[in-house]
Amino acid sequence: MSTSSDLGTSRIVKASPPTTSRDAPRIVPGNRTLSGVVWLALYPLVVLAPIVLMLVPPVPTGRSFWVEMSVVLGFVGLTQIGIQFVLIGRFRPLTYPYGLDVVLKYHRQIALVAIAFVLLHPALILIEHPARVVLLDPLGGTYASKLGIASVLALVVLAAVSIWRERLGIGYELWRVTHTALGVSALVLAQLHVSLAGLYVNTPWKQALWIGSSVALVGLVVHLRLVVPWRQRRRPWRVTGVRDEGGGTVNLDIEADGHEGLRFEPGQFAYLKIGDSPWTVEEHPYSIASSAEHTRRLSFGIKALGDFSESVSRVAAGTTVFVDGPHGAFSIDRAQAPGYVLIAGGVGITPMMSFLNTLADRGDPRPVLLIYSTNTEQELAYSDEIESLRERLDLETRFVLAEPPHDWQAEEGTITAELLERLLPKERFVRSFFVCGPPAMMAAVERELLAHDVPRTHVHLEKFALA
Amino acid sequence: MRHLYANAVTWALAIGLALFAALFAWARSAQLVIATELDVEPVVVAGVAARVAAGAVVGATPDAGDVERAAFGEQVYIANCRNCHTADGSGRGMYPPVRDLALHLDAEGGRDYLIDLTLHGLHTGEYGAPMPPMPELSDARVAAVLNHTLVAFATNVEAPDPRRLYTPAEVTARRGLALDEREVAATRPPIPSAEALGSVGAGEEPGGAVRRDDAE
Repeated sequence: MSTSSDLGTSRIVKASPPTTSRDAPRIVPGNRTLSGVVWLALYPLVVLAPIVLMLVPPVPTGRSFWVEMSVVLGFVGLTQIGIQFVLIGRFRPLTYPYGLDVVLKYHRQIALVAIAFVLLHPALILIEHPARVVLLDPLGGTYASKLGIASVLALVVLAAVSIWRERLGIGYELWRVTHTALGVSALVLAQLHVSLAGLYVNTPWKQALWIGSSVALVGLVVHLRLVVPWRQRRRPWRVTGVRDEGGGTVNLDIEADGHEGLRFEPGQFAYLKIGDSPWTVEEHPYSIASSAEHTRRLSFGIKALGDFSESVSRVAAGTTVFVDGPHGAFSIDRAQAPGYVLIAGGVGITPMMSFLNTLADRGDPRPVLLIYSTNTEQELAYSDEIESLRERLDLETRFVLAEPPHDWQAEEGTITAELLERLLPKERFVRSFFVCGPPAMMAAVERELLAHDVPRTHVHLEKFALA
Repeated sequence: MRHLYANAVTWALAIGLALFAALFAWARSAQLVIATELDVEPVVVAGVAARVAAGAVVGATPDAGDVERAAFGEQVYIANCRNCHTADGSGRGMYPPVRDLALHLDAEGGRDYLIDLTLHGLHTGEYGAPMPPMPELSDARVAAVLNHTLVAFATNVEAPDPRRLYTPAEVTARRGLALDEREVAATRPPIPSAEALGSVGAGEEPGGAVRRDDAE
């Protein structure tokens, strides 16, 4: 195994970044905290703007409380569904302050809230006036009620397929296409429903605003699926090496072909598309393993979990790769501390490699403790690279194996409270902790760290289940 | 931490939106949001009542008040009715047309029927959606919007004589009745639909026209 980045610098000399270009696209300009606060402040205004629009004359005469409640919940639900199209658009200025992973998590949560609102809309209107039950007959009713029912059905199927995708045995690509199609259908059907039934869209200009907004939101999907790939086409990457790191982890090295590469923060991830077409639906997020000081050469740690990941191990050198990123906020650069504790399980070592490589390239003198657990010694990915990094960093490593070989000298079992108690540095109150691994392991480690008086603000978790 | 903040934002937003929706619904149901028509309403109430009492031929010689009244009725129609019954009053086949309602005025009980279906709703089963009760409309608005449909959507028949237009006082008298949309449909005198009346010609005895119930 070889290390992916140039190791031509000693630990004494302040590392020079040989392949970094000043012209590489910046991650995002501006102050992260400020933009995070601004977006959050704007959010309720955007969400409530359509409701305020409803009060611009001519306004229908107010109806009973439950009818108005039903109507406003329908509108609030619809605007929330519209917002989803913005959230999933991977607009870096928007997601950068929070991290795309958190934005996607929020997307899943708030979408359920939106669906609950949308379901309350017909329920309340029925309770208020039971004669309206005839509207639920898909063969009877009106155009408006039929379109509304169809929209709600699309939403319910969308939610069910997303929540139980694995149990239903639906593949990732099929799910993704279905999810997009159902989402667009739900929005379009709901917009038609509003146009036909909505008392609150009772003037041509209000209709135009609503329809225009819906068209723009559908346009965002077109942007993400057609325009963004078209732009990516001009920024191709080539595979320079594929290496089996053991334990089913494959390291993929790529190099920028004719452009300035990707500026990122160590620990971030990017979406990869492998092959000649940037318009493929086969696109997966992977953590960057290489140093952030090298923008034209990237390495990714890929765990062979699905068909796509397995096929990565068979990719030939020179194959074209398209990169969408960087995304995510799991980064030491966002949590300055006098030292770091990195706790990795399995393929969770990947972002840690980015941290270590970056710190080494920067000649960073701060102490780092790496606790890395896998099942067997063979599954320890990047072990040679970690060994050589020890010479360039103030790095202490602890490998924890569930099934150690007979001559194993280090830790055995899993990461337990007892183990942490023994391994955690004395200055644990000031160091920043980065944890990445299987969900159960991360939950256990987080619990133990908090129990050992590590401040919650110093614990950073990366969950890789994104979709 | 980021994940915890995200959870908090989700909860805050869900609760905040629900509270906002409740506040909005309360403000609307309490008629706190004042539509511009309200300024006109007293004029209409006073104006129509006074002129009808004086036996004036409303609309024969349009004055400023008539224009204002017509605009008021149209406003109420645009805000509350047009989305279903459409701008031309045809309903596009999906909702009942509100054209030529003047024919109903001639049928027995037809005058009250038009008020009742507006105040208490109507469900005949002939159309997919029941007409929702609209008690939130004030007496002046009900009168104004009925007059607007009678005049503006008179396509095959002549608009009623201005003296036969509705006054708010008539609406007041029907408001207290405990009718639901099926009762309005069932207990009404046999009033043919405007369509049926139109097909037999406006000149015939209106009461002798085909019952809509029979036609169903």
